[in-house]
Formats: sequence, C-alpha cells, structure tokens
Amino acid sequence: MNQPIRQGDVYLVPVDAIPAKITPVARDAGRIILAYGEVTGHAHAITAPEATLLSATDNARFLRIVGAGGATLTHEEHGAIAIAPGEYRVVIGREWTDAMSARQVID
Amino acid sequence: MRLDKLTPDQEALLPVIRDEWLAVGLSTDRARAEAGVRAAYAAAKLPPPAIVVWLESPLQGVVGAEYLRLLLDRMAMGTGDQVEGQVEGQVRDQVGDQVWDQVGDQVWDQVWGQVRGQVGRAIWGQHEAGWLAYYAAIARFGLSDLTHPLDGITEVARSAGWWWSFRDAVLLTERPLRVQRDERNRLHAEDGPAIVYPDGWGVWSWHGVRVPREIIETPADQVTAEGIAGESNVEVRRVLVERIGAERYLALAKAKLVNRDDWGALWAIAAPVPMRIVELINSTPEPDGHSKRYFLRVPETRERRDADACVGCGASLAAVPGTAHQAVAWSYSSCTACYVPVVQT
Repeated sequence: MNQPIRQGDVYLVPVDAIPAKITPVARDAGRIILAYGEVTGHAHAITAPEATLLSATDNARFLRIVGAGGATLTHEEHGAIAIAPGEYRVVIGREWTDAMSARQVID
Repeated sequence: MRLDKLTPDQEALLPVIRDEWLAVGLSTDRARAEAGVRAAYAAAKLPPPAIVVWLESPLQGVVGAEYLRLLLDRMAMGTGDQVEGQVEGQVRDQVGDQVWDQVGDQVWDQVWGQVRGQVGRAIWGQHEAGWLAYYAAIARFGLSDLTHPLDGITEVARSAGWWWSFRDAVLLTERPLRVQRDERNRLHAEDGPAIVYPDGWGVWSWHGVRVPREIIETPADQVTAEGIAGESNVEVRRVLVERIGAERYLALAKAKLVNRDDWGALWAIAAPVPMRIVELINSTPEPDGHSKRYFLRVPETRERRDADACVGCGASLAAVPGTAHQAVAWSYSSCTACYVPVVQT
C-alpha cells in the first residue's frame, strides 16, 4: 500500500479501489489542479501525463497514476512531493463554520 | 411571433445579456439617464419633467425626494404627486401582460433562471436591472415591439441609481463608486464599505452579513474581549471574531487547553462565542527557518447538519474532537487511524 501524502490543504489517501461510475476531469491549461489558492493564484498541481483526476457521482475526487515513474505534486509555497503509482482519494482540508452546525441558519 | 423554446443561438445570448447588465452597475451617465426619463414620461403620456435634480446616494435621494415633494406642493407651478405609478407601474404591467401572453412558461423559467439570479444579486435589487434584463432578453429574441415602451426606464436603469418621478420634477441619484464582493459574490470588504457612493454613504458587510461601520473599521488590535461580549447581535459578534482571527481570539478569550499531543494543541473557548480551535505548526518552514503556527476551527457542538464519516475507512468521526490529532484529522475528513501523512510539505 502507498503512503498517505499531505501538501498544505491537499491530503491524498491511498485507496484499494475507486468507484465504478466515475468521469475524468478536464485539465486546466495542461495541468491537473487539485486545489487553487483563494487569492494568490497558487495551485497544487500535477503535470505528468500519467496522472488522471476523476470525479465520482457524489463529487468525491480520485487521482489515478499509471506507469512506473509516478508523478510530482507541486505548489509555489510547498516542497514538491513524489506520488507513487496507484489510486488515491483527494481530500481538501476544511474548517468548521457556523453553517455546518444544525443550530445555524444556512445561507 | 411566439416563443416556446429558445434556439441554441438564443441560449448563447443569455450569458452575454447577463454580463452586459452586470456591468451596468457602476457607471452613471447623466445625459443618457435624462434622455431615458423623457422617454419614460412620453411612454406614460406625460410631458417631460421641468425640474431635474441629481443627488449622490440613495440616502440623499430618500431625504431629497421628501423635501422635493414638499417644495413642489408649495410652488404654484406644480404638485408633489409622485407619478411612478404611471411612469413605471402601468407601463410595466402593460408590457408584462402582452409579453406574458406570447412567451411560454418554459422560456420564462429558462431566461429568468439564468439572467435574474446573478443580476439581481449584483446590484442588490437597488436598481431595476433584475426585471429589465428579462425584457431585454425577450426584446433581443424578436419581441421588441412589445417591450418598446420600457425603453425609457431601461435607459435610466442603464445610466443611474435610484430615481423618483414627480409630475413636474424628477430626482435621480448616482450609482455607487465601488462594490466589493467575496468569491461567492456576497458583499464583502475587509477594510471599508463594501458599497460606497460619491457622498461617502455606503454599506459595510462581511461575507454578506451587513454590519455597522465600526465592526469593519476598528483596527483588529483594538478589539477587546469585552467589546465582543458586549455586542448583542450574535451574527455581528461572530463577524468580529472572524475579523480578528483565531490566533488573536485565542489570546483575548479565556481559552482552556483541552489537549496537547505530537500534532499540536487543542483549545476550547466557552464565551463570548463558543469555539474549538486547534493550533498546528506549519510543516514547511519559512525562508528564515522558523515554522509558522496556524489555527483551524473544528466542531464545538454535537449538533451537526451532516453526518461525518472517515473518507479512508468509513468509520464515523467524533462529533467534537477531543485531541489535537482528532482535530487535524477531522479537518481532512479522516479518523485518527487514517490520518497519518508520512510525507508532508
């Protein structure tokens, strides 16, 4: 099993299998963007052609990396990380907000 | 002609019309607005108003309109009767009825859905663009002879802010100089008014929550725990806490250490705004070698809107994290067993 990887807000969890019903997500100017910076324009990005970002029906996202060489995850403010071939669930860091509470009015 | 279904070309026009009207929001063109007023009066079969007054904000407009009404009543030349019923209401209803008869429900839903939602929000219902954009679309689809009587008020809406029509006078106001929104299009400005008019009047707002000016403009380091506790409106209190940030709030409020482990420190604050915050160390050091601390808010209540399951194993997550590890794992939708990043930057 591969190792879990974290780069800032992006957490990649190795999975045994990904859902059967899944669609590829189009690249943005040739790059897979796992998360965009809110203001800076910085991004957690992958350029390797061996990588594919996939989206399941519940909007869960998965990353598939084929071939032997793996891929590299880059970001302007974080060290680059090598991702081993395999399949990963893509998790974006979250913070609690009042809207998540049942006591709060939803906006 | 009758519209029952939009052609692909017509559908493609919808975002164009929407964007045109979104752009309308910030510029005042007095000459165009006044020409529009004359056309609107003509459509209502009224002579053009003799007196044209311009003011600089909706607030000035509301006060000015009252004053103008009194003034007109005292002048021999006219009356302070407002004629917006004729200038706008009647014309709108006539056009509306005719257009309604000739446009199928599906088309209405489609045009309204795409045009109204965003335009209405962009100008905050302040101007007429919300409903005029609908008729602009209908006119563009070939029914312009029906919508023609609206041309005057459309022109005013394109060129000015709020306006008031009297039999012998018209009062128009300037548009805002600036409107700021957050990434979700909610009114939001962190250092001043989110909407500001030429006379300085405006609206202060934090992510869509309208707040008094001082909530936004008091420097963060002058906000005190007493000041937060003393704010009676719960929503405004939360805005204050968000504005000063978790780190300063932790320092101000009497935060209690819940747990400290290898992952960081978990703090709980009971009042004035209940909060649970985990303090973590950035894994990528700054250029000078030190590592930034950062702060994340985690659930402080068991009353949750959505159930939470670990993305790794499906186990349900603790409703309220009790350790720093549980807290940071929660922020990645994981249980502590599944949140074990071996490589991190």
